[in-house]
Amino acid sequence: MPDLVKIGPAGTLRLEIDDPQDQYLRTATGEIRGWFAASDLDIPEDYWFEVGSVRIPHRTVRRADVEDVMPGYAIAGFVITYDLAEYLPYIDGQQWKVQLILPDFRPKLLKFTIAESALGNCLAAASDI
Amino acid sequence: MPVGVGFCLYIKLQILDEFGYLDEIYGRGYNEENDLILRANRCGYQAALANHAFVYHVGEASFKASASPKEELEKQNSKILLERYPEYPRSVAKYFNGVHYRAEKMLSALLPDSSGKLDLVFDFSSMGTYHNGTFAAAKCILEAALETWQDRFHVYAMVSEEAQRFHNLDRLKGLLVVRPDTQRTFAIAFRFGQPFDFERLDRMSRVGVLNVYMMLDTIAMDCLYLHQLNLETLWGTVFNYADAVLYNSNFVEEQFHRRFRRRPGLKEMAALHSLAVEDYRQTSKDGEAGAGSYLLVVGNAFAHKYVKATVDALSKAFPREKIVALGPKDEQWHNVTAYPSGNLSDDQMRNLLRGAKAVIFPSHYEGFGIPVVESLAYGKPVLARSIPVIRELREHLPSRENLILYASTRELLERLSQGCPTWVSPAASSPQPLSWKSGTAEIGEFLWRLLETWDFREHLLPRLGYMRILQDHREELEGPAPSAMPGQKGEDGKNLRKTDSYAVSELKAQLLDREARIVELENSLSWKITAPLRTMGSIYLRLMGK
Repeated sequence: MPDLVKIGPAGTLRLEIDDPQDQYLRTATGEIRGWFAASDLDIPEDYWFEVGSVRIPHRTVRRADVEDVMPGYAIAGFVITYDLAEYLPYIDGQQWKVQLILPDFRPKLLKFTIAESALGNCLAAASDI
Repeated sequence: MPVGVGFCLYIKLQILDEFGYLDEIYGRGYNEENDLILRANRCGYQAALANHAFVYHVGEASFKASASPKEELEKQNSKILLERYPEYPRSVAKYFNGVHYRAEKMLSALLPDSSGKLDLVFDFSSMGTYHNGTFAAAKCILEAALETWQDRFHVYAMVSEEAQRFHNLDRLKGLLVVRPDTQRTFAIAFRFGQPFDFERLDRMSRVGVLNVYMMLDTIAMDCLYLHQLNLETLWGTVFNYADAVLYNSNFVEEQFHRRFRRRPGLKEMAALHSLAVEDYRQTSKDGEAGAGSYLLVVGNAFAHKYVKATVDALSKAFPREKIVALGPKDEQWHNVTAYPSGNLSDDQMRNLLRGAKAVIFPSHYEGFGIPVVESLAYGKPVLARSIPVIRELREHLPSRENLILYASTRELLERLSQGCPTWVSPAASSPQPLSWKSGTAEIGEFLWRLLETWDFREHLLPRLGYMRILQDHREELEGPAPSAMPGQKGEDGKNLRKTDSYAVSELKAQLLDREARIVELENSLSWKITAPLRTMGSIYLRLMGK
């Protein structure tokens, strides 16, 4: 995944989504895990994920596994909790595009593909009797 | 069939006259009958299977004591056959992969056991590990089927291990369970709920000789934000190739009729869910109307259930009223306790009903409306939006006096401002309403009758044929595959798509272009002139040991 580019003074922030690695969502609800890494700047504490104007809940976590293999880098992990049923208007052609917003950085678009069965389960829930 | 097995063949004399006998080149045996059939086939004659005939054959008796073992003869004779008829292996493969063979193999599921019963499977492969009305109703029908269909069917549920445990299906006496990846075939596959993806449609077609669907509503097609998948194709397949379609209300039946062309002769049935209040009560005491302390607003988080907007209006209009809402995730009102749907067990749901003084059902769209019947069963007056299906239910409900209809949220507020409705004892005793047991027994009769008019060529073959076409176009139907696979990187470092029909066709075009250029080069004058030089060059390389 290309790095995040800082606006203003030079600096890059590496971003990785490692679960699901192929950015393919196989379930209607679940978690997306990833991390940021930087060697030359601090990782902003205030960042968020959004679709349209809706923010997707996430939490920041420590990623000791990444810290072990990237000594000298500042690492911050994150976990997004999703329920696709809440974002159905923003899903198009089984694609879910999530915007990552970090102050001072250019916004980053994350694209997820949704399995037909996962989307099907969401729609089936709308038919609940 | 491409060929027949030679231990028992009926051959017309004219065929032998015209094409000769079994060729002695095959020695004591193996492939001589294939040779004869393929010889005649070159002129358009085919072998046919008499699948109503039974011949007992003691296998390999002629070769047991033979000096030349079977494998050796087979190997030797296959070579001769393949040289003569190169079309043989591909024809056999095509036959075994074909729809007709697959359909014939499935037919054994229509043979009843010694007690005359057939195997029927409920497709619960979509059942998740959470609570909702659909799963609860499906389980009620399953329970009633185990009771009322036992003379005719062995009842199976096709369900994941997790869902089986979560919904306590283990406790259902007499239920047989298979997993969604089962290779078994059943006389009837019955799906409660419409299919939302190709996999479910395909699974039904694969496991059931007869396919029966219960369609619950068209909401996913009617709300544009829900209309995500190729529902026209998926549901269109049901209406054109299923053996029967059931609907949970006359309203739902009408809705589907307006949207889909149905194949002529499709069997249909409006099979309403239980309207018997006893079916929804845990104890007889639950039916006694009692004072509750809050307004219970029922639905889920989907927009058409209209819970959030209704709660918002109620909270503002009646700030001192205690309100409990099923559906919204977050509590943003001072006088509202909200429970997200899916997490409440049946017992928790019953407790919420017991404590309510009235139930509000604000949904704009329903296929049935179980919460209405359930609330009335608990002696709670219900205020429900006046939508077609609720009006339909009202006609059949024994305590309809307690179902108050409203046209808009404004009308609801006006009605409540006159005071919370109280339970009114039903005026006269109504005829026994439909119960899970009586309704399911009717479904059982309907399914059994389907078998009487079922036809291999009219029903199974066209369905499998169409499913094969869909299978061939599965990628288009299923939408995008994973955008990238772990560890698979292209030359540019980007992730490679698992499948990409456009990229494949582009590659094929490039290959054809390259082949054409090679042919052009080989035919060119300069290539021909330089040929001796290339020959000398290759001799030199060989001599040098390179």
